[in-house]
Amino acid sequence: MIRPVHVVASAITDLRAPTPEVTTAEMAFDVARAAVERSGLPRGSIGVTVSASSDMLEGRSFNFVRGLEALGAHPAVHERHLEMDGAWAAYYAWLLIQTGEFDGALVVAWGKTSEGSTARVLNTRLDPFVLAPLGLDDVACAGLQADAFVARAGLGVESIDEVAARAGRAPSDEIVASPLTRAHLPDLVDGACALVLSAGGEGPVIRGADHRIEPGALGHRDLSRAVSARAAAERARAMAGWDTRVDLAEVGSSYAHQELMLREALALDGERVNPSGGPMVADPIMATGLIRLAEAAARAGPGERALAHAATGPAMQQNVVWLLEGAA
Amino acid sequence: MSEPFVSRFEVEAPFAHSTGAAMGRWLGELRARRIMGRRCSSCGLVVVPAYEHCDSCGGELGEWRAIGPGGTVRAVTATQGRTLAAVRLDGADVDLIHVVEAGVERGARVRPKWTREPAGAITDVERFERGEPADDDDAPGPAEPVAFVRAHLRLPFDLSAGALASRFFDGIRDGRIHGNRCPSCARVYVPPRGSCSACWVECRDWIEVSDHGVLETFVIVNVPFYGQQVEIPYVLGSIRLDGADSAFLHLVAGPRRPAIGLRVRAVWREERTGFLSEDVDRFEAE
Amino acid sequence: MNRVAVLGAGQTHHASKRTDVSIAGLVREAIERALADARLEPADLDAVVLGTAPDFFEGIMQPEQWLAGALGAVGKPLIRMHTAGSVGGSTAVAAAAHVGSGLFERVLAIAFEKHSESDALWGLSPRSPFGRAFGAGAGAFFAPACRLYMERTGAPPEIGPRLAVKARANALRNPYAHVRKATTLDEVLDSPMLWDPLRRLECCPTSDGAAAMVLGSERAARGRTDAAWVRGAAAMAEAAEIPGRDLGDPDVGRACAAHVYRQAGIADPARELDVAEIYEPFSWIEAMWYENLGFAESGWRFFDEGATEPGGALPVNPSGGVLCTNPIGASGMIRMVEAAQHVRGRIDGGHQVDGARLALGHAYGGASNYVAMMVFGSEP
Repeated sequence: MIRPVHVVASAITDLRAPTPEVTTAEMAFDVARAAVERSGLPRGSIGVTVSASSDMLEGRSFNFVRGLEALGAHPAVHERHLEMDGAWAAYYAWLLIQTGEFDGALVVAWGKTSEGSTARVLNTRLDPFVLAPLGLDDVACAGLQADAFVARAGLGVESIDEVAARAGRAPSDEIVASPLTRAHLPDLVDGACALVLSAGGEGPVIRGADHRIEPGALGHRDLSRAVSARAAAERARAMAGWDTRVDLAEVGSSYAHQELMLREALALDGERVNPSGGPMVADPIMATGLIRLAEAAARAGPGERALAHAATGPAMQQNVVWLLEGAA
Repeated sequence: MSEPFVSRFEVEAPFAHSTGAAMGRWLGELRARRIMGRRCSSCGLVVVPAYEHCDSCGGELGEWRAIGPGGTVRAVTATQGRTLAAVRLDGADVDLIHVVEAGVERGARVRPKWTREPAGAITDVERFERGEPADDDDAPGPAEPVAFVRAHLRLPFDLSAGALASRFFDGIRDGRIHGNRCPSCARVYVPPRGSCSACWVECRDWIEVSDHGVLETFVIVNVPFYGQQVEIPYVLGSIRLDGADSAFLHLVAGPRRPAIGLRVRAVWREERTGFLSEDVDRFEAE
Repeated sequence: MNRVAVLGAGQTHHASKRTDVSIAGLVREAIERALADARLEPADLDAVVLGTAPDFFEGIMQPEQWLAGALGAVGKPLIRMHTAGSVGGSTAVAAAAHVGSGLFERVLAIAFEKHSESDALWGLSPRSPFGRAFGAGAGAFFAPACRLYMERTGAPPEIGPRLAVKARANALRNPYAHVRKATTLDEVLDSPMLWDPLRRLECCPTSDGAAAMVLGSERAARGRTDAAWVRGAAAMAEAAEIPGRDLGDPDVGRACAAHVYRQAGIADPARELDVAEIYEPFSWIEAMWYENLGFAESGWRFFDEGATEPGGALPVNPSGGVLCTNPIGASGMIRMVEAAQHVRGRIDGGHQVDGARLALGHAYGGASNYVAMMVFGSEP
């Protein structure tokens, strides 16, 4: 039996780029303060702080420590930092509440994509011997995945265009990584997100959570399927005791074809997928997954079931799934 | 007030990734125009490229065997002027990701085109081209292991200082040092901060501080490293200016020996950029 | 929190350049030793926690992605910690939390660093986009705090060098240590000043290395006579940019120590602990940590009395410590591995503290503002 954990409050910056007037630490300050204020809890009463960011995307080793200055860590707090998307910081925070050692957590994630080199930095995520030296970037990995998927699923580019249209994109002729066109790519922005989780209180309750990872070796993966997303969803459902029916879903489909893959893997057949617009509309990379959780929690009506999903790594290598129940 | 300051900044450095015995052998064989696979002793898959471990199951890889060199294209994407594909080499159970000839389609049979000057890298296969390997194509030679794969990281950034720091730079350009104050604890931070770390509130009031202060502590740096910007040995001091509560790091030089508690003053450069670390060349004894 | 046991641990032979292995090979060496020590197979693990310090050290972003296969993490939950120098410790703490949550039975904690793949000091000395950067590694950062401690306490100047002699003598009995070289006081005093007042032989090396621990639930530990129990575990941080903050005696260190001692029921650490492995990249830091960790009011006197030598009242860093082995991402994990192995009676080396029943592992990082600590006991 898991301990019910509520998403008590959240805050998201205005997701846009560029943002030269603020630093990532200043963005983290804004959302952390806003989320804590909205939670109604005194900062000192929130048992643990979990943050997420990427030094490499920010161009400086140990840059994440600047974020700590903005999180109210005085006096000293129980604190953890993951160099991963914020959705994993939220998972760890949820896990810490499950231990019983903490009753609440402040989760903060931030990232800027506009300050350059995002594509090159993401290339370094790949095997340094046999993949990175080929100059593969994240878009190329997504293209390969999209090709494998449409071949297996027997779909045409129109299906991908349909997803893009719901994110406000007209079809484009410009192929960036076939079959993906410019219309199918995420809008990379700068942003930060903070959540307050609590074992008591108001707000949607997390009924299930799980995450899984696939091999880093692209050739070992079935790129045509969101394998670890499916596995995580199945385990989350088992934890919640739920079937596949949900009323809304926020999924981390940074590239348009990935929504189709996720609909299949997560058994989503409803209409309300990515009511926020999803990452295609605003993708700050390190905060993207946490934003999905915040959006799903914010939109889950009384008694409604919501699924939040995040992906990280090349071609959705690693996936986390949350199942939330709107407060009655 | 001027626009927020943005700095063109490049992170660059060389890296040498050790291959270890298995990848070292695999790349060596590639350099000799032979593509090898290994069979996993746990799950039985024949994988390529080859480490000591199997990427699918985590088990130990065992037997080496020649695979390909021909294969079948399983997925393909045209991107940025070239075409990348997942190629299932004959005899392998996983795909090799590589560059293929333009226009190659899923299902096509391909064979490696070897580079003329192999270096012991994945790019020793220039790309895969349409067709079956011919018997007399580029016969494999004797293989020597490859010890490293080298990379030179070059990451250009346009890093913004933010409006607050930019305003601080404006003052420095004018030869003035500012701090800001926490409305809660009244501590004055130099350089100014967005928020007070102690009180977790925005710092608002700007005040000008003196360019004289005290050396709180220091270190004499005598160690060289890649990308160093100041010639060693140098004295790095923690300086608290009069009017400030916080200290910052800067160079200390001049005829007087550094000592804890030494009174110091800023020595300004004539031409200024806005950076405290440059426009003040160093601190010296008063 | 549910009870958490240490089922096994292992580490690599640390060296300045492990060019005989790739990063994947390095982590597997530690993992294989830990699994063998735990008498478990990779399939027995339910989750993996990886820790490593800045990605820039190896030039690979989010290395857990590339390494998923090598870590045996495919199809499992995998998270990656980065809490500066304390990361090896916070990784072990995270793995303990996984088990403590009741959701996972056996969890692998693995931490590594392969400094030889780049210039380590380059990675430790971030350039500034806004003018000149004066930072020159951790030594430049901590040497001023050492100077302040020396002035404030009036400690004899050879205390630091003698601490280095202790570390190096201890490392001779640890087959995994990087620097294993008998060193006299004169040799330390004669070595060049790198970050005055710290001489070269008073400073840690940069090493390639990895360390791993397998943590398990009470059920997973059933029937085992050589499990150690996690009696306390915490990872904390505090804002560093507070005027007047003492890098050598940070509040977060005292707070974290108080927390784990309370969890473990320890009232007098110097008396009750049988051994401590603490994170001392520079000689004087060790004396400062004795105070911060509540071992003694005067850290330098505690050392001067011989209390922390191998035969003393509280042996500190019988492994040789960070002063002799420093793969930054792994150093905190090595402290936890060593501490746990003393309690299990499974130290692989000549430095086993016989009959150890309670041990402390400590790691710190950043501007002394990140700390992770664990207490291991022979009883749950």
